[in-house]
Amino acid sequence: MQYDNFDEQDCLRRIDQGDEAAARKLLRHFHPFVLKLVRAHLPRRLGEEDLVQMIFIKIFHKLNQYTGRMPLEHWISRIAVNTCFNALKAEKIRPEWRLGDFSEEIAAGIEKLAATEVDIATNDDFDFAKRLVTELIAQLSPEDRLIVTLLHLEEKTVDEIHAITGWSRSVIKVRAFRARAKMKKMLNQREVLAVA
Amino acid sequence: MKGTKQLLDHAFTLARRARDPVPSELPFGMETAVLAHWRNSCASSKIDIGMLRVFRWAAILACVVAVAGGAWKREDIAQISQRLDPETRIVDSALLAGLDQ
Repeated sequence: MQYDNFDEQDCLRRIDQGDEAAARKLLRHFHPFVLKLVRAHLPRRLGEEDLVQMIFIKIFHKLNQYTGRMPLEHWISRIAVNTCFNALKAEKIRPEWRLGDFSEEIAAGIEKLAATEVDIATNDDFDFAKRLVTELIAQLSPEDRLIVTLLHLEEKTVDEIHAITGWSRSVIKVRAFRARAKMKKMLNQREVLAVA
Repeated sequence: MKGTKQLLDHAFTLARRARDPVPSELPFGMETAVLAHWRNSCASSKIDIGMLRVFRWAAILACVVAVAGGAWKREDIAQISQRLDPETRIVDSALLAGLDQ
């Protein structure tokens, strides 16, 4: 984050008094954090800048409701994740996954990826893996997508996901299992495609 | 060759390490737009709070006036029932009983 000397309590107090400089400081301080969250949960058709702006407007609108019972960062991440989730749900038409929907480049790169060891992987391998995972996750429902992203990409625990989403732990586990099964099925189809 | 489960786990492991460069500057216009919304919401919430205070004090004042008026005219109200003669009272209660049915 940009401001190393960011005093959260002082900033919140000043914002409460209508200090615009403090509001600007909060915005700049948390912008990279929110942007990272949005990129992790980005709906395909919505621009990340629009979503980040929407999230910050919500944050400032609800800031007087922040009680301080949880760290500000958690409170902000909750707003960001829920906003992304709602934007995903608003995407009503999600095309059905079909065999061959992988781009040729990705289909060809999967075999190479499978043979790549983590220790010797290059930045290109990391980027390719990110693209593959993003493409697979994009085919899931908004709920499954949110859980898979939080669980497998952000490495949150089930308890942390429960705190963010409010869903029960058993629902989270079941959804995660089913989402992984769907992703495995898509990868299996890729194998059929490769053989054909 | 890795199984599908291992391949998926492997892809997640590598994907977590992917670079994610974040721009050092805010996008053009975002700061202005967000702060403008914030200023507007601050102004509207102040107006809302002001109106709420006015209504609250008006309601308290109305209650006080009603109670004071009732206390001031308490004797007059008590006299109204005493003014009725016994026959009128019987007719009155009969009418009330009829209305109840």
